[in-house]
Amino acid sequence: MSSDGPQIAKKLGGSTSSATAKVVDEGQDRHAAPPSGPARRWSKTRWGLYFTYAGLFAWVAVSLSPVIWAVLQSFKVPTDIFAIPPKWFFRPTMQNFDSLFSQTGSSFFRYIVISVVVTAGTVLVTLVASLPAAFALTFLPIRRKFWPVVLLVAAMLPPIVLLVPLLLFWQNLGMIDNPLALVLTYSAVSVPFSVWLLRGFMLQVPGELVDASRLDGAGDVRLLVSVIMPVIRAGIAAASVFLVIFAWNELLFASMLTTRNRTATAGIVATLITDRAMDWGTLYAAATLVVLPIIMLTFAVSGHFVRGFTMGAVKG
Amino acid sequence: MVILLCLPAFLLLGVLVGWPIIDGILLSLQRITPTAEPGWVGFRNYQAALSSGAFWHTLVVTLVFTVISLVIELGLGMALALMLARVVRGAGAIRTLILIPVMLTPAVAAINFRVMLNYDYGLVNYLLGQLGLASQPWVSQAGVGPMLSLILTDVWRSTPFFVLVLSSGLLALPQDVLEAADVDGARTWRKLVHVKIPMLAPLLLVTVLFRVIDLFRTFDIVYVLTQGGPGTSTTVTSLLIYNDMAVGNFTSYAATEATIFMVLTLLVSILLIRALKAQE
Repeated sequence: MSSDGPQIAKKLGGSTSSATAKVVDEGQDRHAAPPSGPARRWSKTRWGLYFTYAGLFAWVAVSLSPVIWAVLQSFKVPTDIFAIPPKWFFRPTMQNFDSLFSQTGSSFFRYIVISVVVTAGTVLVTLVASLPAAFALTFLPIRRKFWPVVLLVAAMLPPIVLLVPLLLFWQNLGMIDNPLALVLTYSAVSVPFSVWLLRGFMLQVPGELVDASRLDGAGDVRLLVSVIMPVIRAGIAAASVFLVIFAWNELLFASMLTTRNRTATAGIVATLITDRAMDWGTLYAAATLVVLPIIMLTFAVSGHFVRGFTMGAVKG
Repeated sequence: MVILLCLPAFLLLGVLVGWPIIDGILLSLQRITPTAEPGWVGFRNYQAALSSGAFWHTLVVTLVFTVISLVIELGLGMALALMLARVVRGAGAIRTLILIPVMLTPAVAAINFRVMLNYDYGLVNYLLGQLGLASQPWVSQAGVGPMLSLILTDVWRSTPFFVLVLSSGLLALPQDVLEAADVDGARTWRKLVHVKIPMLAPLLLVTVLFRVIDLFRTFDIVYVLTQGGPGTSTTVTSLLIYNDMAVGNFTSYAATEATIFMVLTLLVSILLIRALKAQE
């Protein structure tokens, strides 16, 4: 996109300003100054701004209310959960969380641990596989220029396609119900997207930096580890966020490849589907616990998330 | 050296993606079911699948779901993005709050929606009643309800994705071009359609690409919200494949359906990527 600006500006008869490049990089917080003079339009007036805020707040309120509702539900006595009219004011109780951990023989705690382990493992393995590959793809001379497109296409593969073969594969290895199977599966499926994303970031590393390191006599590995990776920190963070969300939320393979050692997500859904006499209170409590880390993560990284995707998308 | 660096990735992909795809194709050429003798049957499975009403039905369901969801998410997302791009104070906070539904576990969100859309006890019907509107059988009866519920859930979940990416794109638009348009007397709508959107085109296409593929392979929310029902009215292809494998144990037939699905998805991806490349 940063190369389009000057071209488009030229086409429209304007002048190309160096602010363009700066703007593309720092797009996040730049504010468009309203035009002065008689050409002020409705959209730029005070009322227009209030309207805008109102619209945004309305959306946020509507879109977050199910979340807030669900969290509230987990603190209700089970009979309150399905009460009509819905109770907004109720006596909160921790009994759902209590029974969640004691009733099911604390297998939910195990589920959470497994989710954490699988997620962390996935991030680790995927990065270990993707970083060198992205590096090679970006900085080393490669015959055949089609690899990036192949990657993109590979990232589009519907995981369901792998369901049947992988199920048999892990069964044959006797690794059903082994979290390692999940880690490896998730990593394999995530590598294409990861490499694509990381490559997008690596493409933005200034050429001079790479050249200087080479002149210093840096070999490929040194270049990758000591120079590229620190510079790409934000990109690695962005990729990690995507990976965490994917691994934590994944349902299909988690359900198929596990029986007792389930991830939290698979555990919740399995209970929902199979257990007819299930206690909705505990279910909501479990749901809240599964969702809470994600909400915290969102607050921590919202900036990176968007930057990551936009960067990768535009440059890739 | 290149080979060495790419080795872990190649290994992972080769063993867990490449080989399974080949294996899946091989399986689709066999007959592996709970009852029959295993054996090679060539393309018979493909004939069965392609002439099966059930399979095409799921493709139609998936298509309907994908297109309607995409259009709504794109439109809403663009509108909200335009709003967000104009906000300075609190933009970061609003962005974070908007982002939450995207990151949440789809399956868990779907569970919540299932309760909220419950005909008798659901929050949604209660609110409708308060507004004087009739209670709707969201997922309980055949009709538009179930599909609408699915679309609603996905729009709720994925519109923020568009909002965030597009608002970043908008903010990154070169200011001088926009000002040039202002000087030329372009009014807001004109400026939007003729200047902003064309400049956003590459970003739009990539975002649409990702969303379309994601929508195509939707599984989680359908599995939890409707289980493909009532009947098969909301059975997306992913769910069909899953049911055939996990429930029916029709290993080879499921593999066949999956392979056809893969080819179709590949075609759509390549078409969209082509369009993307043409833009550059």
